Amino acid sequence: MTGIAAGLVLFALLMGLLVLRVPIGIAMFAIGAGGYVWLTGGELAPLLNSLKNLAYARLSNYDLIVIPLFLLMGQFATHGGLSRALFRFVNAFMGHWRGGVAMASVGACAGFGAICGSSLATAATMGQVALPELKRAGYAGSLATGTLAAGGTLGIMIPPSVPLVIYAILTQESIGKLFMAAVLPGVIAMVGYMLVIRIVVACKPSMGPAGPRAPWSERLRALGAVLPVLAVFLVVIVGIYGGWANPTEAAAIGAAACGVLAVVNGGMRWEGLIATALGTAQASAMIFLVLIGADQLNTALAVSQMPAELAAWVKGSGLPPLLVMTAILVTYILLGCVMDSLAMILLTIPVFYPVVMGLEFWDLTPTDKSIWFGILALMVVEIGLVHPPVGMNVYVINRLAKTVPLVETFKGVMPFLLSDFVRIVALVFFPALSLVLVRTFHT
Amino acid sequence: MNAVAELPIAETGEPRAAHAGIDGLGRWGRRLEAACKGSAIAGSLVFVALVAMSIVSISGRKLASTPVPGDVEMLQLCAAFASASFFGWCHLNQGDVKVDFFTEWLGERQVHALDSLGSLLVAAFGALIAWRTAAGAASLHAAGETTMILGAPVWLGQALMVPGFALLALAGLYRAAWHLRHALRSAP
Repeated sequence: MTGIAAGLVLFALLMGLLVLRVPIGIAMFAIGAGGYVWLTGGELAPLLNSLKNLAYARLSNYDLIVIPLFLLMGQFATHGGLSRALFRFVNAFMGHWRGGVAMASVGACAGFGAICGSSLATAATMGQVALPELKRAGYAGSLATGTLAAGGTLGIMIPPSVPLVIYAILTQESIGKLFMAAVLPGVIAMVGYMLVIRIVVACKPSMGPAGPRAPWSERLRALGAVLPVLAVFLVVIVGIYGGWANPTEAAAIGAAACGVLAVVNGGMRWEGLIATALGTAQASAMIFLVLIGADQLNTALAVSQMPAELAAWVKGSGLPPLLVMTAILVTYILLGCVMDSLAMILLTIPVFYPVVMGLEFWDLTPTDKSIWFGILALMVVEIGLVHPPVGMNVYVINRLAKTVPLVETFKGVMPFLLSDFVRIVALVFFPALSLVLVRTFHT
Repeated sequence: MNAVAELPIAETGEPRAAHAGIDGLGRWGRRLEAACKGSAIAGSLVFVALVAMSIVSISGRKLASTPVPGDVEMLQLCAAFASASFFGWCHLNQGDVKVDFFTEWLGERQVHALDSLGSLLVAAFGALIAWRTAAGAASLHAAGETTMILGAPVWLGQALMVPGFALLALAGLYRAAWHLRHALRSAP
């Protein structure tokens, strides 16, 4: 049997287990372990021997330790009331525009995304703060929920970003460069969402009435409250990129700073600390279980030689690279209908990455290409969080909003999805959007 | 007055009662929950301690060129078992990532039956990894391997991961029984 055929058999079996609601990490592990035994000649001993070190090797990986640290940082930010300060700040500047409170929500989501690497946490936290404000300001339900579901995706688009860390580890790419490359596309996403709101309220002014103008004294006070958040972001990103601290150290600094802010500014007490500890535990375990499973699956795939054979076949087939890229992106959008973004990255990057690296795109160097593809993959898997039928962010926000029907929320998200597609197409044709900052701040 | 100045506390994302616990657990479930919760909180505290150590080490290195000796080894050794301590809580609290798109049309009974099977696989995974990690620790112990700078025994780091995976196995068994009971009770 060829490697591609063996790989396809493994994928088909995996899909079968996933359909039966087996947790993704466990399903990947089961297929990976079974496939490994099958492909190495039916002996159990090599598998049992390799498992001796699997968990320790994975969980003691120095680069991977940034994940629980970033999650801890995000949990401190979530339970420490930093979201409220961010919203007040942006709203003091934009609230008096038509649609301004919704734009402020997007801005605050972006700010929160700069200290939190998870979309669901961003959507949930900002939703709790901004939804009551949007309602009080008389915003239409669908605009309010759509804004926050889409805005929540800024949590992973703006670094630090857990999916990018995973991509970096899988492809041995620099975390610092990927974070830097994600900044500009993240800002473009934020501006795009704000433009969408502007257009929506221009068509239907009653959906987002203007609020009162905030006096400068209040604006300055609000600014004071968010300066520490900005400082944390700069220390983490500049620290990593400037080579001043490695990602793990920068994440430790960020977690410590957010912890201090949460206790001192946010009045976090015992209950908040326990919630932070349990939240970190749950989110880390969720990711690590999928990581361990993916590790085993990738071992089996590597034995089958499927990724290498597929890459060679695509390269030799003479298919236009852009067509291949389009097929990959469409695959992500389809997978996004049923799967979570991290699982998607872990499942597909080992197969797609060699394919992409084997093709020519806009004369990019291999490093540039791998960074560009990382940002592109991040952008497409992220829209799986807002489009039907799974759209986790949509469900989270909808549960918070209570009075808005789910259909309204999905309708409200549509214009934002359109801006996502425009941005992705732009990034495909202009890789510089992701690479320009990496080149400018080259050290 | 600006609308933003006054936010009702109840609606602003204050942490909900963290001690409230998981609904619908029996007596054994409560005990297991306490063990998993304790283990998860302890693991998080280890990470907080590691953060503190990193801060001391970084400032020591930048300001006085004297980092904490062996800080990287320490971080790796401790992060491994602290991470392992999270698994039981995550599964007991039903925090797994799963695909529920294809089974949305199924009745409650069938979904519980499938989840019972899934939890059984989780239990098998936890038991397998606990067993193999323990075996790995035993061979490292026999080989007497230590870390480069601190000379800390590597087997200890690996052995400390075993309870975490054992808890995952127990959580899987408990949830398998729990889902099975719900499958039998709920309407077909």
